[in-house]
Amino acid sequence: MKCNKVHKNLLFYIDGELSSDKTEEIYNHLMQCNECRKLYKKMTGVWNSAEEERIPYQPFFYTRVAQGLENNRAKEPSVLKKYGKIILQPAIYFIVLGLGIFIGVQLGQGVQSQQQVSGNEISSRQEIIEAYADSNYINGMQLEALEAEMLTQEQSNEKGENNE
Amino acid sequence: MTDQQIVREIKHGNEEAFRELVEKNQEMIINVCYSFVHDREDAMDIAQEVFIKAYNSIDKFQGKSKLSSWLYRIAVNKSLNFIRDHKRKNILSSLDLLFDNSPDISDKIEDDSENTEESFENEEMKAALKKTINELPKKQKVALTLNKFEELSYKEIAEVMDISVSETGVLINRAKKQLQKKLIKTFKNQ
Repeated sequence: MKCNKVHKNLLFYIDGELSSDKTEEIYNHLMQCNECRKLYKKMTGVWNSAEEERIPYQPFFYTRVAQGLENNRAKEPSVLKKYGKIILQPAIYFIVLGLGIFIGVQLGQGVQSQQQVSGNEISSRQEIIEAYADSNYINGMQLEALEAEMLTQEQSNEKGENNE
Repeated sequence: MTDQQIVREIKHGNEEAFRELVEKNQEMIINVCYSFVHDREDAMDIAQEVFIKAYNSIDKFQGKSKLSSWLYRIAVNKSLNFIRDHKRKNILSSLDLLFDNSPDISDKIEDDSENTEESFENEEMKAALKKTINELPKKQKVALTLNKFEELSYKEIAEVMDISVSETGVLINRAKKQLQKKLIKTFKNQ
């Protein structure tokens, strides 16, 4: 067996995962080849060094975990904070929106009734003026039918002259 | 208490059952984390997080797999997340070192020179192994670590990783081949 082939199987050889034939071949090669034997020793040292280190049972570990759990609970936000954004925020939006609509409607109704009031005022003012004018003969022309007729005749004559 | 009883009791808020779960599995979980992060204190911190996570999400455990496999899975995920975050920190700290002339580095070199040659070589070899394992693709690294350091069977690894047994075998085989190649290269360069 060549050195390269041994190198490709060294880790599997150390873990005993090769067939008996291959294991024997590698063993024989290692007996003869000094370089490969050195490599094998180094590889075994490294590969097994990792297995040696293990952390033993820790008697106070549960206390540590319980403390961590307690700290986590303390850090947990309150129900109000947790659900505040989900429930409270949209509720506030709806209330503000509703309030806005209500105020808008109320304001609109107020303007309308004011318009009605001012409309009534105008019509009543006209009545008063007309009554005043009647009583003082300011619109006396309406009463003097003959004069009014003469005036219209005069106007139509003027128009006829102009046409000619 | 059996695993099923422990789970049921924890779901009902029994803290004694949780204590039993921790006591029963702590050594296994701490060492799984340790085999990934290679630091005792970090491993303990991650293991603590694993049990807190298990307690908080016990309702999600449906009993389809073994309780230990479920805990393994949480431990592996937490450890891999830790390594990922740690890598980012390492990059940032190495950037800091580039712009910082602190005397710590030279002190460290002096300390190292005091070590004997043999222990230095041994530490170097271990570091080389850890480095090489960490460079493996994620799935290969998980499968190899669980097989080599935790001595889990292919079936158990398959359960933890949620893959088939044959896929587990392929992953471990590939991981070993890559590891072997890289280690031999390192040894030849020494």
